[in-house]
Amino acid sequence: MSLKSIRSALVAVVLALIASLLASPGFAQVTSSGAMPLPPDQAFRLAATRVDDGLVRLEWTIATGYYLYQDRFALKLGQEELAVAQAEGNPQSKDDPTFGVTTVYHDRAALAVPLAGDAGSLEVRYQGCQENGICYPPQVRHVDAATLAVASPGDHAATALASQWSAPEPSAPSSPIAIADNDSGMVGSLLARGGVVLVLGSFMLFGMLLAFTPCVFPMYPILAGTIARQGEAPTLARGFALSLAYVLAMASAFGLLGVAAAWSGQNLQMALQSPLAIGAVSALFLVFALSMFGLFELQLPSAWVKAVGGLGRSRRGSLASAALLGFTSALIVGPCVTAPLAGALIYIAQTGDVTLGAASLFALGLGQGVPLIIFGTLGPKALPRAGAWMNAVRQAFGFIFIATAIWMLSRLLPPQATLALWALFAIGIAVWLGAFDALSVDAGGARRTAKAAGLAAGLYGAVLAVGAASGADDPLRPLSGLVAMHSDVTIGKSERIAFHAVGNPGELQAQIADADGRPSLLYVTADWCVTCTVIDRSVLPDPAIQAKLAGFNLVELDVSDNSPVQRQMMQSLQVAGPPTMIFVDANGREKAGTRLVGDVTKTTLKTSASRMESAQ
Amino acid sequence: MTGLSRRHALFAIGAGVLATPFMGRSALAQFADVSKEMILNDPAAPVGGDPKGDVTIVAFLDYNCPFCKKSAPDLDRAVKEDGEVRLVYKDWPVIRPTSIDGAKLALAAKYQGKYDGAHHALMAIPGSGVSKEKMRKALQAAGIDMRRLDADMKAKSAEIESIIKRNMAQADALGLTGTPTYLIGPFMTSTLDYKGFKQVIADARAKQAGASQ
Repeated sequence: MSLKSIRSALVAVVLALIASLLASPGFAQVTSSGAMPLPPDQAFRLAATRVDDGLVRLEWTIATGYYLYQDRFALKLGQEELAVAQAEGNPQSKDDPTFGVTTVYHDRAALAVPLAGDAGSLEVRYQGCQENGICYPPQVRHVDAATLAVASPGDHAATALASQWSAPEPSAPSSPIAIADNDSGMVGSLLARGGVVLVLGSFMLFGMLLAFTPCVFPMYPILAGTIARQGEAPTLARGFALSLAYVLAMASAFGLLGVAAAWSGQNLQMALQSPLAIGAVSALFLVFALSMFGLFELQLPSAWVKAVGGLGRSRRGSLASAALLGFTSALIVGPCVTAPLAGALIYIAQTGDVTLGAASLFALGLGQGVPLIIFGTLGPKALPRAGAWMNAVRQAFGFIFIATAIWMLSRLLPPQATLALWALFAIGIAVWLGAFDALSVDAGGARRTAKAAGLAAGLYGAVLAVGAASGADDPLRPLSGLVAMHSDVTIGKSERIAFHAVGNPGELQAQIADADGRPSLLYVTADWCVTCTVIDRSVLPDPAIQAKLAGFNLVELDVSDNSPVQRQMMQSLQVAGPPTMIFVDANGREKAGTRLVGDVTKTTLKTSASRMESAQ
Repeated sequence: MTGLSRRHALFAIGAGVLATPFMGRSALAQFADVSKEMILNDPAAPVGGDPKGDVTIVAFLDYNCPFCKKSAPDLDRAVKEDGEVRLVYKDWPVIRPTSIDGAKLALAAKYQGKYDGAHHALMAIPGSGVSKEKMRKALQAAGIDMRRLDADMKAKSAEIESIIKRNMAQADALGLTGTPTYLIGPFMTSTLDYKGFKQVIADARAKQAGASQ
């Protein structure tokens, strides 16, 4: 089983878990408009028919989205309470977080009542509610045994006073899309089922499953580099301490995301994708890289070092720097929006419960860190013992840090400039591997292999440099610009389907209105979003996916700039960040249970698209 | 006054507590209570939020109503964050027989200045058909002086019952179908979540500003 298939399997498990949580009753039809519910006689239409001389059948037609309670039917003839048999219909057990388990009837319910034609007036009582909404007082109706007419004991028309108040005007929609109630239920549902322990435990589990997604991948080499920075082969305990410091800081960064979201209403992780933050972190990685090459010993401010007490000065320093890297990597290096992260952020935004929200995110971070801790503890054992080798290992990780710095800068720089940087990087590796050093005749296999690899890196660097000069922007196809010059065939970066880009609510509305009755797929993306790149490269170009999406109006909202308009649109769409895919029908209504957040796979995309189609 | 009599019939089915002596009371006196002024500014009705707020929310609630309980934190949050909303509590006990016990307990706590605490303690009990014992326990846990509460329930029973009756008459006159119902400024709404409250409060403020110009 390849790593990729393990990853897809794990992601499928996470999504299945989340789907089962969202599919739980109670999250289907929350009305937030405040529109008034149906009058009781429209919600529960009662009719009586005579079956035979001694039997009358009472039948309730229940409007969609309303239900009657099984234990609230009551019958009275004169002063005598009649026994109520089990009603016909489809009794369903309803488990409401705040309401407990009750048995209810949807659509219809019927009671057979022994009632002679001359029995007089039968008093019928029943009670019901709107799904996730209003509850009615017990209803009382009188059924005349002879005529079977249903009468209300009192006229319940409102007086003129009622006209002083009106239904809320449908205010200008803040979003052209009517969103379904999505992730907000995740935390709440877990809380109702198993309390805080289940919430935190589940988020830790989600985190562990997410540890094998591209969001977390960059953290493995960074952690390895942090450990290798020591300059000596670390012991198990040391590796554990360093990776724990790294992971705790990473989890704290996640927790802080929650607090920041509660205070400012926006996703801090996204806000940190500013050129300044990215530039600063790139510089930080460069500094780390230089210290790996032994240019200087990195000293953190003494106050920080003191804060991590109990160890020798240099050890405290390295723990602190591991923590610093853990913190920044969580916020800036791998800014991945995943379904649990989105769920927790939206829960905080809706309930204002910062403590639980932030604690869930901390647990998510810890879960993501478990494999990192195992890797950091056991990994160093694979490193050779101290000696000159250790220096080479440190320098190798120096290159990894430089690569991280370039990768981050690529979010800011034009692609050609990034390509030029990669060219320099490859040439630097070539020099380091000794590509341009003379080999002595008696050089061993290792030296010769290194030189061969170095020359290959040098050649690749030269090709990249040519590519950059000719305007190419893909490190894997550096010569595409030259090839295109000589042929009419355009070799695109990928065979991705075309999406209509929208930048503001008006454009979004226009795009959705323009769909000619087709459903729309809104893809929220950003150029710094790692997971989006994976989706663009390996999910969207797939022919089966293209066929599946052919019937959809494809709309793209790029939130790379994190501008106020983009933030506002994400807020109104309840999007915590990219990647998020929202399926809406021709009327701009999102179909519940189809939204995809985080790692989108071919399977999940196909499933959501099919669900949307079947609803058409 | 047929509207009133119907609601009273339901009410009596539920508990029989507020039976005949009140039902026979002067219909004229009740009619005086069913006015916009009394809905908004009944001096006996408990008030939360900012008593001088520019937008008034009148909340018709029941301590056995699931959505009331579900939306209680949302309402609190919206009112607290806004800072200028006046919240009038109307105990409208119509869902289950014990709803009346809940309403009386909460209103009695007003005499020791703890309506707010009692209201939130009762709203925080999950479920419908909450027993009176469970309500009393929750109130005790919330720091309500139970001896004082019982004394007030006895001494002020006529006053408490007349508030509940006024609320019921007002709800009837408004043609309310169930709980929760929120009057927010000029709007009559029902199931709102946090975002919904914020939105309607904003709309109400905008509309009031438009009307006063």
